[in-house]
Amino acid sequence: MYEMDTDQVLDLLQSDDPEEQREGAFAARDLNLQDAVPFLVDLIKSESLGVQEAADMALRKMGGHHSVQALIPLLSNDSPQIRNLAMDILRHIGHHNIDSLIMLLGDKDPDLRIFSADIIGHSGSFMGIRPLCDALLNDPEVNVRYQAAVSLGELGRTEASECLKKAFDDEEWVQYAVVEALSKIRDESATHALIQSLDDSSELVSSMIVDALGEMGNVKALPMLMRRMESSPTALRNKIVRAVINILGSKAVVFLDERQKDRLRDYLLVAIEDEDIDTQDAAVAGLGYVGGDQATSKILSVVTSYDPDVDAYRMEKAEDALVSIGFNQALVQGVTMENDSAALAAVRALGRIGSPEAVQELIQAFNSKTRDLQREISREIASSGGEELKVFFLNLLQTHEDGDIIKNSMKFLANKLRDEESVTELMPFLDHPWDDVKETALDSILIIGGEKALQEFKNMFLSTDPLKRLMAVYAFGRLGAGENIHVLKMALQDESPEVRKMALEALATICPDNKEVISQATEVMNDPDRKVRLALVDFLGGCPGQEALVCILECLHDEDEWVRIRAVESLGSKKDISVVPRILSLWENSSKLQKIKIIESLGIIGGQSSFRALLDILDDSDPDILDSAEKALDKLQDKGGE
Amino acid sequence: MSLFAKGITLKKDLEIGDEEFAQLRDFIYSQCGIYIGDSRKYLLENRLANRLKENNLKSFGEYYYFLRYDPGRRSEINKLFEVITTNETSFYRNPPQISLFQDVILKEVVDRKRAESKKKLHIWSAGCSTGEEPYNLSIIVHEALKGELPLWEIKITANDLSPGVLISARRGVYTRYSLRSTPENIIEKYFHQVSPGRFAVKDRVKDLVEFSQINLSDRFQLKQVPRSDIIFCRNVIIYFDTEMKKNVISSFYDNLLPRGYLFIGHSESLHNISRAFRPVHYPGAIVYLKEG
Ligand SMILES: C[S@@+](CC[C@H](N)C(=O)[O-])C[C@H]1O[C@@H](n2cnc3c(N)ncnc32)[C@H](O)[C@@H]1O
Repeated sequence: MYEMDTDQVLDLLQSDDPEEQREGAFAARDLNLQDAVPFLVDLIKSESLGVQEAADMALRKMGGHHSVQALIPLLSNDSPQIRNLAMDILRHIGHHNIDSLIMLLGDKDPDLRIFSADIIGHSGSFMGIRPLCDALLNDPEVNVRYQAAVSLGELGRTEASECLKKAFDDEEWVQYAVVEALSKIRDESATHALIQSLDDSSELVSSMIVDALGEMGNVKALPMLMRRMESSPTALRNKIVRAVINILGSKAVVFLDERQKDRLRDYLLVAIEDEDIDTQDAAVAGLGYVGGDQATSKILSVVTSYDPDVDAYRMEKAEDALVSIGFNQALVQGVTMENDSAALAAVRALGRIGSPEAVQELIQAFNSKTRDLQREISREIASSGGEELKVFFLNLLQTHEDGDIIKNSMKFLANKLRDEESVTELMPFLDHPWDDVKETALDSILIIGGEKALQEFKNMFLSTDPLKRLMAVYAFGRLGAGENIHVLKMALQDESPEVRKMALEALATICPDNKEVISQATEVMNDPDRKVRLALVDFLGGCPGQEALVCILECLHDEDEWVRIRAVESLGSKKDISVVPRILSLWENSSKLQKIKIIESLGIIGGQSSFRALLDILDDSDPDILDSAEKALDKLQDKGGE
Repeated sequence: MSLFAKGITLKKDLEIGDEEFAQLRDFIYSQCGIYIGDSRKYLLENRLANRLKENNLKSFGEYYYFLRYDPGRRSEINKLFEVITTNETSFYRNPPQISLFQDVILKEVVDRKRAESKKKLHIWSAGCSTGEEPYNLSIIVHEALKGELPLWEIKITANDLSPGVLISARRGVYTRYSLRSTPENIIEKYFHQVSPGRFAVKDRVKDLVEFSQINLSDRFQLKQVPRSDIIFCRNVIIYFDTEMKKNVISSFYDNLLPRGYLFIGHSESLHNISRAFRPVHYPGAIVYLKEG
């Protein structure tokens, strides 16, 4: 690539011509020419932004001991733009020469000490820790100490915890950075440092420490936090409660003895009323862990302020907590609450608990509830209940008029029980006035399946109502086209085009295994209805073999354009060069749409004849056709290169 | 949506419904101003089928909702944009940029060259698609220099990655659609009609333009391009990643002669890509100057 040698590159860099300087910079970068460093650093000061940028790119890429050393003086350059640029490059490459940066921490200019602390923080280097600690504890300038703390956090290494802890004697401004840094270090030593500093800290710093401990999640912080809980004012205590819950999660039950649990519960019952939402939510979760009737009541009372649409996530968390506390009288009471959100949460929680007694409570409440809650109850118990609810749901089917409740009942009978007996009960719903109910009925019956269902559909197939026959054929497809091939064959001759079309769709599910199906299906080649012929092309497209191919070729001459288009498409996907002339013979009488489809198919099929045809097509006057042809040519070129 | 309301079916294939098409068409128009006529419905179905597959969506309706409401919709909209606009180009695309080139930048460069009595001009159209942009530039140069043209040495280098578009570019035959923003007198002067609705650029326009295939990501290929007074690279780098953008723009900087100008697409910017150029603002358009 480069025939340049070192001298030539250095000459370029020392030229007065910005163009040559840039060329030199890129060459130095590509050759990683360390000898070029002093010149590159010089070019950072160039008036030409183009030259400056090239030098910047080169130094960043090359890095190295010398680069760092040579860039350091730029940190005291008069131009802030150059200072910032040098700083930015050094943050990238500082680790290549950490010693020089450490030396800089002893400079008499406080700004330089701040810069170097910052850069060392970005270096990821272990070597930076001691010098930064030194700066943190001994530098006379508070901003340097602050930056040292920040950088120690940036490095995130255990070894810094000890000195960070000592810095709790410093001004509060530095302490903030120290807490932040320790929370980034995150490990045992950092946790210790924070715990030990908790007692002697101001209220503001204490609350930062508590937040940090909660976020770090180390159980070792627990005893200290529990102790502090007792003696703290409410605001801080709520934060501690939140931290404790964040640390413990569901393990609270195991870690705490009964007495501790009781105390924590008391505090949680207060914290749940904190104005901070996160604290509230932590308290809800916490009450879920420590349990008790009172916890249930309190959670339900907080939920009264939720809007189920807006606070969906918090609702869910509250329900989780209620479920984790488990079945109790407070929860049963909840179902009867006036407030919709609370009643809803109670219903859902009971449903999820799903124990016989919980389900019993829901069934008992059912009749006295609003329609929305009835829907919810039917949904819940449909997923948690079992055989014992069969009568209840069959009864709902007979007596209830609400679509959702009917659907839930049918889903229960199908998904849960696969109850062949209830097929008889479900069949009438295929005549229901609402489509969604009909759909669920059909789906449920087909999920249950079995001889009885099949027989019902066979009878239905004899109906004079075409919609009934359509459903029946659909059912044959779902219950297994292979076994019902004989009825499907009859369906191909049905007087309703919808039915004939559905029969083809059903047959399409088994074509690859059964070639004789093709000859049956092609009987509809001249079907008067285009939908049927479209379905035929679709069906043939999925069938392998010469026989199907021949049939698709015939479809190319269908009177309907979409049938022809889908046939062209289908031929393309078969990638058989021999069909190219046949496809091209359509061109003259094709609409734009059809032409585009032809082009695309040629692009997929490939070969010399496709390529030549596409070149001719570039004489067309339609931009969409041209665009398609260009794309198809790209595709062929790609293939040619393979 | 209900099985019955939709018509019950056992089919699993993707087909775009009329309503879905209308939704997507309006959405695309509102997002990027490209209107997809009814006759291109099928085209849209085809082009977007892969996007649906990649996002695991079952229908075009779902895709529409994805584009509107999904958290990842921003990046999907870019992909959609890419699918729709890859080779999109036309004569007099983005008129404010073209006027800026014609009335200000070209004038300035030509005057300077006249003053230096170096009557040589090189323009580079990088990512030229089917050739509208470089031929457009050639026409404008003809208009600017008129009778003086033979005294100048002028070249417009045009390249693209796609061999398909280059085949079309070299033919130089265009439809009304490509010429929709072109003034009638320009069409009369620089094109001849080869058949109804098809216009070939005249040889004198073609003579200034040289096409070849180039991949802009190949720095060494770019080094072979002669130094330029003006570079056009519009609506090409949008889909490159930052690293590649930096390299391409850096190569353009090196290629430009001192006081050379770079045009990029009107929705593109060099922010975070390069500080080396000086952006010069004009009404409705920005051009980037390499100070020399
Ligand atoms: C939208 S067109 C722009 C055409 C013209 N510049 C304009 O603005 O009207 C983008 C062109 O960039 C080309 N392109 C994309 N990536 C490229 C690359 N890496 N190298 C060269 N050309 C590329 C595409 O093939 C396409 O023709």
